Amino acid sequence: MKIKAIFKEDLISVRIFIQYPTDSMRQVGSPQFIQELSCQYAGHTIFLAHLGPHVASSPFISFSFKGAQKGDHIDLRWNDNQGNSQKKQATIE
Amino acid sequence: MLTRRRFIETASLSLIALLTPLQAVAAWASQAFKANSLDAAYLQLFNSTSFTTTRKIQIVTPQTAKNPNAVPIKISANVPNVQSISIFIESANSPLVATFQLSAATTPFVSTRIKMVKTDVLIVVVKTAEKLYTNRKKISLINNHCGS
Repeated sequence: MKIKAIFKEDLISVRIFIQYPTDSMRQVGSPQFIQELSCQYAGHTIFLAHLGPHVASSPFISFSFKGAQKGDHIDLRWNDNQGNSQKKQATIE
Repeated sequence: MLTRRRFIETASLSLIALLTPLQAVAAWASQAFKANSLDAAYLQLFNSTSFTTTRKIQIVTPQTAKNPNAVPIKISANVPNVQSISIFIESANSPLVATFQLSAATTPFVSTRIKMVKTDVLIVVVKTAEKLYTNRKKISLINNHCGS
């Protein structure tokens, strides 16, 4: 999961790219897709995406929010429909 | 230096992280994703099928999409107190593409990439604290091999 969080004029733009599925996650037969992506800031969920199989396999998602500063952290997490998940923290630049 | 002890500690910590079931923030909207008509999906998500059409929802897409596996779309809503933005493909078997829940700190904007199998209409529904709004946009695929 690649995350870019950039502060500009009071707004934090968050861009997320998830390369999916990786070889270790690939399964034969059943359709695989990322179901959920969430972003937390200061203990609050500020963004929660529920995704279906029509979303591009390797999702590229962006959103923006207010109220954070440069150097603050955001926590991202995704899970797929097969029980795989990943968490990653990013620093606002 | 990576001592044996340090290695075991790191390895077991990452194993715990992998095995711990992480609490989902909210259950995935499986019924809405399974719904095989727009109205059924609307009812699951919004408990309503009547929306106000508005140009205040802006949908930016390429007029003709080159890569059907990753059609870029950008949605912004110029209405107050947006709680969620949901995307549907009008004539897909299961029309719901994605739904994005936003907090009060989050800007009413989202961008993503979607898969399309043929030229179709993208429908966006924006839920605010007061109302449900909608707007739509046709997206054409350049290589429309459907039916061949």
